[in-house]
Amino acid sequence: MRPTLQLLAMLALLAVLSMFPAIGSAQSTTIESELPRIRRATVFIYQVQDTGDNFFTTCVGSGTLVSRNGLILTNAHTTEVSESCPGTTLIVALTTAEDNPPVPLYRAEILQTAPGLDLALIRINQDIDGRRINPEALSLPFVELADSSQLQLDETITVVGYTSLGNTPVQTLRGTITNFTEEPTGAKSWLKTSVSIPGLMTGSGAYNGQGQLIGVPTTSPPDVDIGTATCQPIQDTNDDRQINDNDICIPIGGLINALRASNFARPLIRSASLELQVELQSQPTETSLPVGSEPEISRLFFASSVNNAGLPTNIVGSLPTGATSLYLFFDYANMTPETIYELRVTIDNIPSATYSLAPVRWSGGESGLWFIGNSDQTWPNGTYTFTLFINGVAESTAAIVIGSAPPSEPSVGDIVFGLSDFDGTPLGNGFVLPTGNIASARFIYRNMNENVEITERWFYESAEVYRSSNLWSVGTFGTDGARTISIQDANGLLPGRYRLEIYLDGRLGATSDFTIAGMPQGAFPDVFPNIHFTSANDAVEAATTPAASSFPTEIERIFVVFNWQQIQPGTRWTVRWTVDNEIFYEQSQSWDAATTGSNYVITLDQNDALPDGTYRVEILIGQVLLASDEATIGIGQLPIDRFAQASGLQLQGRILDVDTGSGIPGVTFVLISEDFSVADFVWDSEQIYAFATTDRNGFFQMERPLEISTDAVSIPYSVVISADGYLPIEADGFVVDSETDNPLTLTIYLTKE
Amino acid sequence: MAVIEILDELTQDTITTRQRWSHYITVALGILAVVILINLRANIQSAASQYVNNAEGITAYYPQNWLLEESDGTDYIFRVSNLREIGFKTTFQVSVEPVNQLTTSRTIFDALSMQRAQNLTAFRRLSIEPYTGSADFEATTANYLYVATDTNPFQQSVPVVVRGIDILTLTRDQAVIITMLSNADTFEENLVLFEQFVNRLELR
Repeated sequence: MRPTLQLLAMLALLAVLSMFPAIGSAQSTTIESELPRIRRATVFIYQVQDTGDNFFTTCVGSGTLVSRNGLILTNAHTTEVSESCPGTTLIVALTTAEDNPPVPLYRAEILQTAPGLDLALIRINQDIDGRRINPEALSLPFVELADSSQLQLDETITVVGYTSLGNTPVQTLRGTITNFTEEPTGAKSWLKTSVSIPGLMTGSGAYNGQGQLIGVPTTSPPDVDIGTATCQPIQDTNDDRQINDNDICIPIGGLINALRASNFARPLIRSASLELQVELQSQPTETSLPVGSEPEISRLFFASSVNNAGLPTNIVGSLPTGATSLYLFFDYANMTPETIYELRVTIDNIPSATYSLAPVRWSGGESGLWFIGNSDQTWPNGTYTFTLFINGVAESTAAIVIGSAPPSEPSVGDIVFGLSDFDGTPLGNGFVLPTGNIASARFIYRNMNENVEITERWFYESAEVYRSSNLWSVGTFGTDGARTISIQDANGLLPGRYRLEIYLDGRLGATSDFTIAGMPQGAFPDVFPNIHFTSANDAVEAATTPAASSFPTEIERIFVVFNWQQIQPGTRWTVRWTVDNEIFYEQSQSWDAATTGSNYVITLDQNDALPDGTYRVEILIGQVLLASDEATIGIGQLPIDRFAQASGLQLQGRILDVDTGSGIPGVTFVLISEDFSVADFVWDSEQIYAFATTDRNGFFQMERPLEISTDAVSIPYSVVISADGYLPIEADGFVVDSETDNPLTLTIYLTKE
Repeated sequence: MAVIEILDELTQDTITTRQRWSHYITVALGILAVVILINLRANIQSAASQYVNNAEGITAYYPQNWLLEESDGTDYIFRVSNLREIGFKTTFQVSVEPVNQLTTSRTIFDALSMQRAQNLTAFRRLSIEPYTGSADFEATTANYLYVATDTNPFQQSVPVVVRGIDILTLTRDQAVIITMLSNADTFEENLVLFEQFVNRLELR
């Protein structure tokens, strides 16, 4: 009887497994097959005040697990301590059962934040009861990031998050991408969507058709004072036996239609997963504006295109029918990451959600020139009115007509700067120039008329330093062509930020900025000479240790050292680090050292040991690369993370006693990797692809998704289910393909010995 | 196996000497078979796989068909777990800690206790006492218990009371800690296997 039962059990498992042959079409994950995993990877985050004997919720939001060991991507404004979110403890709740509200299970800590981008990466580090968790012991479902630069208009997206204060299950919303908003931070800084996303879904995830994360629904920190949100009290936080307006009010927020593109999160995730820490010699400090300084917006104008330096190529007052790009430029000052900015656009006085940007945090630093717009899509005809709001108050408005006749009025544009000496020898060109005596500007002009008044105004560090006005001579310059103008200083132009404005009959016709920094080296500025990697015990010693381009495995820290020359304090510069060509650190700040000096040290550190890889550091000013160096650690390539794959087939099921029909708790289901068969298996963990243990009801869930076989590649797993007191079950050739149900649920019967 | 005979008065009177010896031999063979089976079972149970780590100077013999894991970090050198066991999987583990002249067994156990108290639910150290096993090294043991829970939040697993024992022996520059973790209910029967594991452990 028993051998018969054992045979039947093995035949049953083989029959179940053989239902999933390695045939079928090429593998393709779809949002439908990935949704169960995405829902489980979507978390609800409570920011709470720990009073010692109670938790009071202060802010809530959604988040998404982006690694198996508990890294969660979410918004900064719902997790960081602020006036509207004063809690100091983060509680993470997961949907542990389908169609049930989330269950608080863990505590988390903030690992990385980008306040202006409103992104934060938090990490599960404690159980809900405060017991510390080893992140490597976690095996949580997670999602992969898409390359958000590859998204297309009208692409269908799915938004997954929580829409209530933790009372309802995770929700799924569908829609399309309606627009891309371009800012100096990138061509697809914001993804606009047709989905009306509730404010409580801020920090959640939006997914493409393959189930990859494309963006984070993001709204501004709700602030009742400026009327951007409402809030709800849900607990008696003042102990007066009532829940009313005197209790802590949890911000809810309005509707969201903007997604922060996922590519902005990549550096945060990369540095956090590798635990890399970059320390500058002078760390960027929090913006400390003088008391009473209010954010300012000024000098609004439109341009039809932007050059590589992020500057306008022209200034337009109208655009013809069929215009495919438009940008609103403006100057800003006294801004901080906490500043809330909003753009409202009307077309013929009708509000346009497509071109408007709901209130979001400011990501552009304290002051400078900013733009917002987009290209590669046709703007419908109409009169567009752009109104900028700062902290809920309308600051400035500009209007433009699209659909007018092609312009016939005089125009100038496409300014490019160059530096030359008194002999006229060019020393450089572009938007970062080396120090010299003469700065030239070459611009294109069209449709010029006789006696048009052309005025050039040059500014240095916001102060006008030169102005000249002349009447245009068609006989001398013609109506169309290119012309060069310049400023000069016999003592040499000072390093710093310059601006040129060209006016035609008192109307701003073109403007552009450039920076003078560094000494001339051929045609280019040499601002950061002698950049090199080195190793040392500390930053002080690093200044004197020799340069190196390769380092041994398990080195704890390395240093980048460079000199600098002719850089004006206050000049905005950027440090960017990559490992194996993927950015893990990018920080812009104002230069706060002397104009010239030596041995600026940047430290790259890791608590344990720096992972093998090829590391590169780049120093930029105004998006212009000025210095770089590269070094390798160990084999020069990041270790392969065999758990990095998020997608695949989710295997789950139940193991039952064949006699009683009840689930058997504590049984282990072992899935052997495709390189080994049952006969080869010697109970070495290296041979195991994944395993799962049944719970009190006999249910199990495989901790790692199975790779799906394709026509070209078959991945046969082997299975061992072995439990004391029961006959073992073993099988080879377990293959899943695109036709296999996902998740795949097995029911397996064990026979007593 | 058993031989049962039902004899009446008549047949008993007619049994021959040959038949009687035949019965004796049958019974003897039965007993012999039982002895062989018991011995075979004991051999299977004590069958061991070998683990050698020349870098750490460790050779160990662990129960066959237990899952072997070697650490890629610093938590332990290796550990073996009985995946066949229903419920908590009994685990033997060997780890090393650096020591200096001031280090005592007590300081190491105290440090371990503080670390475990942060990571393990309801951790309690029960005792610290001299090692009285038959392995040929001087050692100290610590007994403790805690509550283990499944790390998978999507499953409904019941927490298990786990009992642990550390055997700590100090060498010149390191402390070797041999650990067993077992369901408290099956601790005593697993302790037999653990003692076999410790007795055959070679530390160079």
